[in-house]
Amino acid sequence: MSIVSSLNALVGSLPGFWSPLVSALIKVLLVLAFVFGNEIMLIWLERKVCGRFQRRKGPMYVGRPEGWLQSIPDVVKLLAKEDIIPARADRWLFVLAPMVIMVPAVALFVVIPFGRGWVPRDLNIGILYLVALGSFTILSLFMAGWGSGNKWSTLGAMRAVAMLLGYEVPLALSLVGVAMVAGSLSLVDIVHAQERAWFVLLQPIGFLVFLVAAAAELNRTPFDLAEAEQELVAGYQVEYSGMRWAMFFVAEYASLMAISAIAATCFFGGWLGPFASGPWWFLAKLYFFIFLFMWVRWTFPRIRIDHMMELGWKFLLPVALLNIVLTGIGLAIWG
Amino acid sequence: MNWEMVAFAFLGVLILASGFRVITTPRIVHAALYLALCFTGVAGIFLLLGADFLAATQVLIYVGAVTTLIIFAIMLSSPPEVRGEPARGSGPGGGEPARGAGPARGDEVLGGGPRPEGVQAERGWVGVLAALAALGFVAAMGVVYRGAGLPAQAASLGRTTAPLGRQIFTTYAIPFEVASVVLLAALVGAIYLSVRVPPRPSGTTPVSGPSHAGAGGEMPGEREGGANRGTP
Repeated sequence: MSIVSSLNALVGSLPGFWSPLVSALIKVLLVLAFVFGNEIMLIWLERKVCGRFQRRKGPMYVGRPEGWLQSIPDVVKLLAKEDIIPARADRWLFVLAPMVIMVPAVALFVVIPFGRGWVPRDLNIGILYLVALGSFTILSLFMAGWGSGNKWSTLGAMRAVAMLLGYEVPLALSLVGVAMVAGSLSLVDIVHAQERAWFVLLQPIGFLVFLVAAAAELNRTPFDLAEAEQELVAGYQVEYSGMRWAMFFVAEYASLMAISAIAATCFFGGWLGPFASGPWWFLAKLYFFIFLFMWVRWTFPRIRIDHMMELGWKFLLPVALLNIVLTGIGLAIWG
Repeated sequence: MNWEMVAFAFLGVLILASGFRVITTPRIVHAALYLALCFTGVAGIFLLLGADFLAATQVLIYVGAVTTLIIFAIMLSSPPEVRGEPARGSGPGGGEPARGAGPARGDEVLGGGPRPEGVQAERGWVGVLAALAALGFVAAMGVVYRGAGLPAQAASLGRTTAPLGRQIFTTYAIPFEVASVVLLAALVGAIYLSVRVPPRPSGTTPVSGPSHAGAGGEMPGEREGGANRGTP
């Protein structure tokens, strides 16, 4: 905490015009460092988890033991690759899409409390902010798929839009229960409200709906119909290569982290632990959820598009609404 | 000169420029995306005014829902036609039957090709009417915002979410309920309009509702793709 307070003093000493800018920049850099630092580990972790689930070893050679440096040469390779823009692409959309997709992936971390007082900005509309940012993901996937000028990409974009639209609603509604119990939309208040009991105990239905809808929002198997290598080649990513493709990849893992962080914050008490509460608890829960999503990804096959739409609209949505009603009744009785 | 002023100027230019591009861009997809940019800019203005709840709602409803629905409408119509481009060269195998007859119709719709005579003649009148309507709107806005300072001062409301909720469920309960009834009517109307009773034999489910729009519209493309790929 002393680092934080001395930084605050330093920023406060700047002239009035610059201090908000510098403090915002410092926070942005810290968040970016956290996201990208963890990302390198996540990509390695995904390969190891995938390998173990498939009874092989995964990367082994770069960075002994267990190949933990493998991501570094991959980044260098991606940077060195030729940047290809297809002749039939809609140039502007094609170029802008990977940039737009980074925005929600990183901006989600603005409201995530890493520890007591360790939050970039405690917005009092926290949950609404998280849900609203998802809109930009839909737009960027559409821009990528449409802008590529390739029918596989367009099909992938269409699936992505249909899916994200269908699963945003249950995702948002599952968080409504949390907000009702906590009496606030701010994620910091939500963590404080969990000092007696984690919300996974009070909101078990909401948690399950959130988990399924979040897996769909992440575009990961069993909900990766927008990419679907076997049928759509890679959906909206077909035409992307080199760094532009890498930005989609990075955004995907940043969203994985963000969604896991939201799950840890809203349902598992954030930085609170049974003993010695602190940011390490948050990190442990974050990695638990990341592992859970990886586990699901390498265990289940992809589901069919009509099944997926039915699951979203006909099952998750009513269940999420039911959860809200039950929460309301519970609050009226015990609240 | 402070940051609010800089941000306000930036957002103002962004909103005006993107709004202008919505109506001038030749491609309908670009128009939809410029519209999303315009909405985002308006959300920024809300933020500057301290109305963070409104800003998030603006993004959620207008960027998330309205623009996405527009995009859906565009994608459910046939993409190469809507693009306003000449027909793309048929790929190896030439298996693009759905697109064969497309371009001529698309050009007519989007003004790329020859226009029917009636449209040409009516255009002048439509333009004058549109200009009059725009002027009337500007005048009305001038009356409404007379005396407002630019940029407006941020209201120091503090946390707006709880007061908003309380107001909606007490003072403004009836307008809120009326709005929800209107939305429900729109929902029912949309379902009624979109349900097509298929002449197909039993075993296939009828297409209905927004959820199936995506799945239903996609099937032909998939089948087409499968046919093109040939034998494995």
